[in-house]
Amino acid sequence: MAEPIGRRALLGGVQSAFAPVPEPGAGARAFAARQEIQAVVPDRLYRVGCVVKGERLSWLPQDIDGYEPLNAYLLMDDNDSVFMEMGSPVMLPAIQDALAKVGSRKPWLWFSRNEADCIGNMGYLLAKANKPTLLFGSIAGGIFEWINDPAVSITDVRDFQGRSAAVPSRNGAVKRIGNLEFDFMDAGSKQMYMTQWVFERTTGTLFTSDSFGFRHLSDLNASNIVEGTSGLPAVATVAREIVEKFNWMREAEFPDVIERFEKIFKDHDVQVIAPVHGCVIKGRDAVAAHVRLAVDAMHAASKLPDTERLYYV
Amino acid sequence: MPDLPTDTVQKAYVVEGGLPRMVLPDLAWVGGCSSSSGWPGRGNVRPVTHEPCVSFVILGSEKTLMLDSGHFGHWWSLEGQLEAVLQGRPLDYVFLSHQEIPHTGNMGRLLQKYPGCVAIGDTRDYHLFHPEVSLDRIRIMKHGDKVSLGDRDIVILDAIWKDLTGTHWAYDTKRKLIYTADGFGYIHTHEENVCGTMFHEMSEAEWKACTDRPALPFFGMRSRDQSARVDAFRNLMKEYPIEIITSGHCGPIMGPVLEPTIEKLLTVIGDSSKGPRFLNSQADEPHLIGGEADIAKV
Repeated sequence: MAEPIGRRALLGGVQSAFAPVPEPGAGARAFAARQEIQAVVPDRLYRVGCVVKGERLSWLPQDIDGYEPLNAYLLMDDNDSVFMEMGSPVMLPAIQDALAKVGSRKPWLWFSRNEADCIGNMGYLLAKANKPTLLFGSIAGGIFEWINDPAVSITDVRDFQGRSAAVPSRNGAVKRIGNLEFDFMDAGSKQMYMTQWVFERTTGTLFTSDSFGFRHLSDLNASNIVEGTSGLPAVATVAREIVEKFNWMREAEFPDVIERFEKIFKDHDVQVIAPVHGCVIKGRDAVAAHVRLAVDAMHAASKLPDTERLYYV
Repeated sequence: MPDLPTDTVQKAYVVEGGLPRMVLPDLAWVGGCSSSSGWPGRGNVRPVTHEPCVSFVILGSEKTLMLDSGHFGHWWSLEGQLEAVLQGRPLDYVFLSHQEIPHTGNMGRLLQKYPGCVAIGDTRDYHLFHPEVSLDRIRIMKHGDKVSLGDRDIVILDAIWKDLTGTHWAYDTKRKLIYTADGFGYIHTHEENVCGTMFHEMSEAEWKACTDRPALPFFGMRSRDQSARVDAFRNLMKEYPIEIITSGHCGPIMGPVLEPTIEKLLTVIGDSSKGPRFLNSQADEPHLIGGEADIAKV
C-alpha cells in the first residue's frame, strides 16, 4: 500500500487530519483533512489531494456515511513535472506542497474539464509556478479566467491569455514530455462536452476525470488506493451514482458510448485508474473488475427513470 | 472583412452593447458577451462570434436576487454594473443554476462584496470551491423550494435539459419570468452587432439569424427521446405560465417574439435525435465557425 509522504495541518476552517469533525453551524466551513502528496507509482506518479465528508456532494445519490478523496495528480521525471488536474480550492494546501515538490522541473498543467473540481487551483498555479505551460485540449478559452482564489489578486489572475503558454493536446494526439508519454482522447463517459481523458504510457495510468469515482472511504484514515477486487459495490448502487453526475444516461440508449468505453481499455494496458474523486484503482485485476462494474452499471443506468422529466408529466 | 481592433481579437471576453440595461423597473440585465477570438489559436479565425454571457437582477419589494453570478472574466465590468442597477440596495441572494464558469464564477466575489448575500440553488460542491465561505451562506435548495423577495417568490425548478449535474431553473411568480440556465442560448457574429439587444428589438432577419444558431450544450440529447422532454416543457409552461424567458446566454425574450422563439427551439430539440449538426461532442471536431452554432461554452 502506498504511504503518504507528506501531511500537514491546514488553514482557516479546514481541519487537520485527526481533529474531531465539527457539526455544521453558524460560521462552519468546509471540512477537509489529509491534505497530502501520496506516491502511487514510486518516483513517478503522485496523488495530490485531501479527504472530505461524504455530504453536500453532487455526484452522490445521497450523503454517504463516510468520506471522499478529492484528487489531482503530479507526474514527474528528472526535468519535467505535469499536474494532471488542479483540483478544488479546498485542496489548495496539498497543491502548494506539490508545487514545492516540483522544484526546478519545468511545470506543465493538464485538465480534463472546464469545471472547478479540475481547474479550481489553475489560477494559483498559473500565477505561482515558474513559467507553466498549459496542455490545451481545445477546451474553451474562458478557463484562463476561472480563478476565484481570494489569496491571488485580481490583477494577477486576469488576462492569462496573453502571457501563459498553451500547447495543443487534442484528442488522438500523442505527446512526449521528457520521459513521459501521453495519449490524449475523448472521455469514455462524460456529462460535460469536450471532457478529455489521457493515458500515460510509462505508468499505465488512465486519468478519467469524473468517471470511476465510485469507491469511497468508510473512515477518514482508510486507504484511498484500491488494489484488489474485493468490496466492490453493487451494480445498482453504482448505476444510481453514475446518473447523479451523468444525468443524460437515464432513459437513454447509448450502446455506441459503452462500446467505445470498453474499447479504450482493450487498446490500452491500464494499470492505474486516476479519477478526480473517489479512490485510485491500482493493478490490472482491480482495473478489469472496476471496468466490468462500470459497464454493467451504465447498462443499468439506462433503465433508471428520468426524475426531472417526471416532475412535469 | 475589415480587420478588428487588436484589443478586440486578443481579449478573452468583451463587454459591449450597453449593458447594464433596466429592462423593467424591477428587472436588470447585466454582463456582456464572450468572444470566440479569445480562444487559444482562434484569435485570427473569422468571423468572430459572440455568445451572450449574462445575468439578471430582480429588484423585489423587500429583497434582491441575482440570477447566476456571471463569469469571473466579466467581474471588472460587472461589479460596477451591479452597483448601478442596485442603486444602493444590497444583494440578498444569488441563485446559482449550475457549476459552470459563466454561471457561477463570481460567487466568491459577490459574497465578499455583499456580506449579507446568500447563495441559493443546488449548491452541493460549492463549499469545496469556496472553503473561505461559511456553510450557512451556501444554501442547498431543491425542486419546488422558494424564497420570498416580498412582492414575489422565486421558485426553484429542476431543469429539463441539463448542461451539468444539479442544474436548476428559477421562476419569478410576479413577472412570470423563467431563468433557464443554458436554455435559449444563441451565437451571433461580431459584425451583426446585436450585443445587448433583445429579440423583439432586432429586425426579423437578425432574430432569424440568431435563433438559427441555438447553443445546446446538453450532452446525450441524441441518446434520449427528446419529444418526451419537449412535452415536459409544455407541461411546465402550464403550471408556470411564462411571459419572459431569460438565461445565461440570451437577453430577455418577451413580447411578440416569445411564442415563435419557444416553438422554434422546441422544434429543433424535438428533432435532435436525427442528429443536428450543432450537437458536436468531440474536442477535435471543428466548431464555432460563423453560421454553424457550437456547443462549447466560452
